[in-house]
Amino acid sequence: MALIYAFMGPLWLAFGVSLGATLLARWQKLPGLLQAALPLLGFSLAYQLGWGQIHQQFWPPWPPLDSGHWLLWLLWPVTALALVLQLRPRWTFWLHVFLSGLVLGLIWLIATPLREHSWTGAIGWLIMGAAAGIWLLLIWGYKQLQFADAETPQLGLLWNWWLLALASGWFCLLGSSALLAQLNWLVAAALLPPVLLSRQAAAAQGLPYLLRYLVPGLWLQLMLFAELPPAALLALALPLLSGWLQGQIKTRPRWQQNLWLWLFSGVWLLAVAGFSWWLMPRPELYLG
Amino acid sequence: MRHAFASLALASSMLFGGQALAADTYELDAVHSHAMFKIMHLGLANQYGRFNDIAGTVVVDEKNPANSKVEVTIKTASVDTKNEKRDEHLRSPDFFNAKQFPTLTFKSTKVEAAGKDTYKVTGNLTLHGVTKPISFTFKKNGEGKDPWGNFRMGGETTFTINRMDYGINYMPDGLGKEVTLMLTFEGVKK
Repeated sequence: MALIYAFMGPLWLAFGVSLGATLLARWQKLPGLLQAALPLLGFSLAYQLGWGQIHQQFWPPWPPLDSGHWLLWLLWPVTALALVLQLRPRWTFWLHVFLSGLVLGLIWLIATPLREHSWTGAIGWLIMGAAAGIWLLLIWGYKQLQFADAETPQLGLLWNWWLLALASGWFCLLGSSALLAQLNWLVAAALLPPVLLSRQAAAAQGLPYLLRYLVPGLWLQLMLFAELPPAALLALALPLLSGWLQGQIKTRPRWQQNLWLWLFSGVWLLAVAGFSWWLMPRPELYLG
Repeated sequence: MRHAFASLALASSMLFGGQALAADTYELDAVHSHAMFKIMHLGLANQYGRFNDIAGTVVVDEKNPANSKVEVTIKTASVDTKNEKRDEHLRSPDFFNAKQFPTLTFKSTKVEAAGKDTYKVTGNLTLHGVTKPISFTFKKNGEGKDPWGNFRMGGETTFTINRMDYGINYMPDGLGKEVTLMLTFEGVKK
């Protein structure tokens, strides 16, 4: 029981902090700028605090020792970028270019130990290319969705991210890393309040930028450093499939579009999760 | 003049020849050496594991122990706890993070005599990307020729580290913070 509490504790903490920030953002007397920024800042703070509780330290070591440390050190610069993108949509293009450069740089940093120790020659570059390709696939897919969604609230889109983070945690468990599972579910826990409670969609618009960094970053860690169940890669087709589906249901009312997208994402991820589990060799009894 | 060269040659051969005899280098025999560890699980029972891939050398200078050296390298991916799922978990980013940190190494910086056939070894242990100084007592059990004519030396040591010091801080409530390492060494003289 104590172990389950220890596992759930950081998730509750992240949910509570994010909930507080989201509720505060609904308080009409707050300045508009702060109202808009609070869900995003609350999310990042919630993730940071949850990470700190899991790792028993607030900040990771500097210089970073592993890819997880890099991911967290870059969280706040990316949060700042996401905030600027949310508040100053006119600068979107150039900031997108900058953000894309940053995530590509992050792939290089995350893979540093592998480049140094395990990979040699062409094989290493091929694996790096595949990892970068998957990251770009995610970014591209969600960018498609965002362009299609430019004039309408994005809360439906956030539900997709939430489901993806939830399913990613499951894949990490199958990949023998409870830590990465916990970090993915930390994302899901911190994301739930703004998804449920942000009345103004504008207030949650910066979040997809941040998620586009954090979720693929955790996926890369799973792919490069844990034992990724190969079937789980099917989950990464979700952005492309959702984009295609959204094109098919464009004419329907907004709430129906969101509902269809959410249902489709849920069914797809559930199917991939079940398929990945089914394909795995039956594990020996091991519960940690 | 010729006499002077001959004296110099004799003196240097005595000097260096003497040193070579005093400091013997032993290569770790991976078949007869073991790196094992134990850690408390849920405060109930110690769990034991071992690393199957170890290598290293030990230089022993009986006359001047300060010249002695120890270097050991262990591949973290070779962890074996007689449960494949648990080994996978130990190799994952939760614990050893074996793909990011493929080796555990120890390099001595100081060796002192600490009694008959006993040495206090100080050095740097690198684990999980973190290097920390540690000290342990190495007990030499014996030496001699094996049936195939090789000269062997053997000994062992046991010491404890705090895994949190090395950034392996996952599951602090389920697993003990202290990890006891038990190393038995058998080396073949080079």
